[in-house]
Amino acid sequence: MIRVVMVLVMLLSACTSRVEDEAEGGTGSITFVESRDISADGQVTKLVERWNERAGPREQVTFVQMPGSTDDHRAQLTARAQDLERVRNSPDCYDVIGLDNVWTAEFAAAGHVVPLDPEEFGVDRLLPQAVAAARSPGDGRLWAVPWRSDAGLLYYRKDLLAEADVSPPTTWAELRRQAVEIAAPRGLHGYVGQFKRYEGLIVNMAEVIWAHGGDLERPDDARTKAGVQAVADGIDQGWIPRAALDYEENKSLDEFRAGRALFARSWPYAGPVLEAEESRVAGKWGRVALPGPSALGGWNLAVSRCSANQKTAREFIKFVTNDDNQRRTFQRAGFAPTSLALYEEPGLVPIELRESVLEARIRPLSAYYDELTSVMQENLHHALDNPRAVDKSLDDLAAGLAKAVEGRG
Amino acid sequence: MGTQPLHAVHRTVLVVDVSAFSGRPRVPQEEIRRGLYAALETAFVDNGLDWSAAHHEDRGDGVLVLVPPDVPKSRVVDGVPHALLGQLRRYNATRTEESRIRLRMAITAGEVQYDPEGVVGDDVTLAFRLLDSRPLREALDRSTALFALIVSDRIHADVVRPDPALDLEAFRRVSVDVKEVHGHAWLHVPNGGTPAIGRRPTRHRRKRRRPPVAPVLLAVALLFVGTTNAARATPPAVPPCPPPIQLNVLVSAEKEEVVRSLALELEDDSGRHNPLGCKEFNALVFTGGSARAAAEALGRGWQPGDLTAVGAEPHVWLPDSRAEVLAIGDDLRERPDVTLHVRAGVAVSPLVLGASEELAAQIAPDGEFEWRHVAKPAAVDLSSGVGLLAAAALAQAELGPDLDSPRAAWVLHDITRRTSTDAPCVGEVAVIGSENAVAATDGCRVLYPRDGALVLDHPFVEVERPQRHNPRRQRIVHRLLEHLRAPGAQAVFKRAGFRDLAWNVIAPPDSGVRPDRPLDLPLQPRPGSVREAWEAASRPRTIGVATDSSPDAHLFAEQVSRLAGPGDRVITLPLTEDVVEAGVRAGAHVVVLASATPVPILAKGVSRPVRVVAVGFTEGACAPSTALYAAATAMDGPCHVVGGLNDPGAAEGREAAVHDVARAAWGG
Repeated sequence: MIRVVMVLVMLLSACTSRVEDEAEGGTGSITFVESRDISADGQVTKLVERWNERAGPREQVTFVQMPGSTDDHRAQLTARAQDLERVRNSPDCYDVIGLDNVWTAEFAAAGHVVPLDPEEFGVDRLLPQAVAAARSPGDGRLWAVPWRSDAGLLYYRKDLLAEADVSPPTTWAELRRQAVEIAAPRGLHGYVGQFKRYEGLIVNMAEVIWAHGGDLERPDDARTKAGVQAVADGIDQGWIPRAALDYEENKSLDEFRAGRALFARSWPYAGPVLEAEESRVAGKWGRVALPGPSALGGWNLAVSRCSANQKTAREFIKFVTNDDNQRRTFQRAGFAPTSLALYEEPGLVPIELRESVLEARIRPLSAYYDELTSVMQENLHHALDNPRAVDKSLDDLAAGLAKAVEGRG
Repeated sequence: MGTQPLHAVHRTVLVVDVSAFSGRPRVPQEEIRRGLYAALETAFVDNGLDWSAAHHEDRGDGVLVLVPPDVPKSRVVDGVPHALLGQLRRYNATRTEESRIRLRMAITAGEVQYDPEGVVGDDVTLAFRLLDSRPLREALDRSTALFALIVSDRIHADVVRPDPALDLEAFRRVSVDVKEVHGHAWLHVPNGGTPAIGRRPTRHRRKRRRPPVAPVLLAVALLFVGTTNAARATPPAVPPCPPPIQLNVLVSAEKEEVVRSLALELEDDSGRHNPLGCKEFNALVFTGGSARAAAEALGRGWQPGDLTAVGAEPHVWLPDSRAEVLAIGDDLRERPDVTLHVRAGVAVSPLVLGASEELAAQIAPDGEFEWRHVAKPAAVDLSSGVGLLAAAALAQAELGPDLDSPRAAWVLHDITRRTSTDAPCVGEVAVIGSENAVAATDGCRVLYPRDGALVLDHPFVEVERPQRHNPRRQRIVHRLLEHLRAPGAQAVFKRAGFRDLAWNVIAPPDSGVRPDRPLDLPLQPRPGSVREAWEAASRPRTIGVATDSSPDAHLFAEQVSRLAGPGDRVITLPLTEDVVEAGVRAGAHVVVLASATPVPILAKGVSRPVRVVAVGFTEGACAPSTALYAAATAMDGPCHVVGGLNDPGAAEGREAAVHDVARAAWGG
């Protein structure tokens, strides 16, 4: 089905009018829209300022920050793009937009963004999975350039594992054993992750399922079920706290930071948080790649179809994603790069992050990802809360996905 | 048993009744009850449902079960009866005829409310009516099946029909005519001992039934994808769904929960009723921080900074009251980029007083009160629409429409300093709020103002951006308006404690909510000025008072000092040449000069602007030639002559002067 949409979009772009040609080669001032810049000293803002210092007065970039919640961010981008369908030269056009990598297919299928030439951006130098997430699932056309990546890490209590004389787990079974044998006698939670009903649940469950050899796109596969069952049983047996069914990033990290958990799944940004003054585990933690592949998080940059100055837009994307700027935003804002070369630079990317990002996999690609994720969230959350219903919930999910994949909820 | 929220919540309602239970002897009754509970619990658990999370109530012959909304309804309609059948067979196999169980079962879904008496809600009532209906009774009587199931028309449309796993033909449409229920429902009797429902279809049957596709719609859908070459593309069997329209709905905190559930309901419905089965829109329902922040962002045309501070640009705004729209009217009049269209209201809630039982008995034995008896109102939160109206009600009761009267600052300051941050509806502290919120607050009894209540009219405001007109979205906006005003949604508002558009209300027992329509009152002052005046009147102020040694001046100084609220300060200043500058240095916002004897010529020029009010007590004390007059007018302040202690008009004069001091301190 997605393929059909792509074909139609391609037909559209094939019969471009003169106006569109002009837009494609157009230069002028543009608007750049990205997530709220919460990095130290506003590194994204600084990046835009650097462009503006170099670019001529005609090609200035205005940086517009989106609402902090990703739902609101997406709603704002979508509504604006829908308002400007078939509109040219509107000052309201968001020329360059930052898209969560799971939204890219949807924006492409809706015709909100224009296809890009992979050669022009040299995407071969970027993480292949991140590039895959920026291509349409059917025809492989490129719709965005991966800018920032993100991958999960397993945070562990270095002090407690040393006492027990074991190394951090590399398989889910080992993790479980350590959680039961080391955490329980000390009155600690074994493992905390993000199991609330939101996108984080999909990330966490995809990772556990991959670790068990299954795949989110085949919910009725025995290995997929085994992955879900492992977490559901963990909650049932108590080494994963039942409260984790309501945890997102902050709450799960709070538990670990307060010294109440042996293991926590989190993102790279958690490091500095665990060393901050109020942390009770400062100096007592370590981190390794997850016991299995991580889900690849990250943000792509795309050019809106409404943009009249698409050449400037593309130049700006090249500027933002070049190695120098990626190195700088990694060092100063902690955005994990998408450039493969930077992962080979000695001393730049810590080994566990390198391993996690390079091995990371992408979540299902779909123009109807929104539908997919809501069906997956509903069934997975139910399964985790009802260990005896895992089988049925996942069979239901298989049926639900078949509908959702066509956008029919 | 699960937690029991006080507000209306969505539940799947399952009721069962043991056939001919009451005719049996006592002992089998006990046994049947135990057997029924065990069978139900197992049927739930077998479907992966948490029996303890479902609320269940014993209803004599049967059981009422409320299943939380996160459990897919299909599991209740499909899995539970199937499992129950197995359990009943197992149970009956080891029982004599008189202990055997046969069940009537009904399933509905909707908003229910937990109150001290039990569970109430139209759909609970409907479930019991269906359970009692003739077709269901007859169906069980005429068959040997262990149960007969009836589901509401809505469950059939929303759950049975769309779920390919359920066998449509196993449900028969029947007419139901019991008490207030006249309409259709759907009956199912397990066939020949094998349940027709609950069978999982084989894989190839799981595919979605092909929706009827009209050629015209096909073309439209393809066009939308954005090609004029659609004819050349091979039309797929079922065309792809066009992306749903994004609809951003900014809503007041009071209505957030209700509106979100109704918007999502319409969103889901849009897929079911669309000929292609495509969801037509995605709704984002958000409050945008405070109502005031949201309104002000709209007034500015929702600038880029508002995206991070408040949220996404709204297409629909559902404030508590039209007053909030009026408050930003001046800002918007000049803006070409945003136009607000105030459409009809979606619900109604009068502004009432919540009081403890003691206070209610004291000030409103008949349920109606007068504003002058509200000695200790709870602090008013001006950032919400309800708070704005609460301030307006208090102001209007004392001042009518005129917030510019000489008394206004004095009156408003007097009200604001009496407000209390202690818990409302405890002792003397009364809260002004919407009828729905007050009725839902512990310990609060709802009282109505005798002269009429201001009304939260919950308008539906369409936010138009003329430069970015989107007709497809506009149709969805209008559909949402229609949906919110339709009987189904009105019932939901009612269950959440609001009044519907015809002012009907579900009065919780002993809440004081009156079922009839209370007298309503139009809002008189301009909402924008209420907020300004109220904020000015609540500012903490320091007043410096300088007097001579006369009894008149002392009496006046005493009256001034009584103006101070908990956040204010009154300080004494020496009546010297540089008294005003001394006041400034001491942080005074107002300097009061009260003297029965001529004052020294005051130094001109102060380091910071300060307001001055002068009061003299002898004839000619404020003549233009006097130093007192010069001191006041130098700072654009008034000079009052108040008669001496023996003057019968003195009290009135003093009062006017005190009002002027209040205006200087707490006026706009």
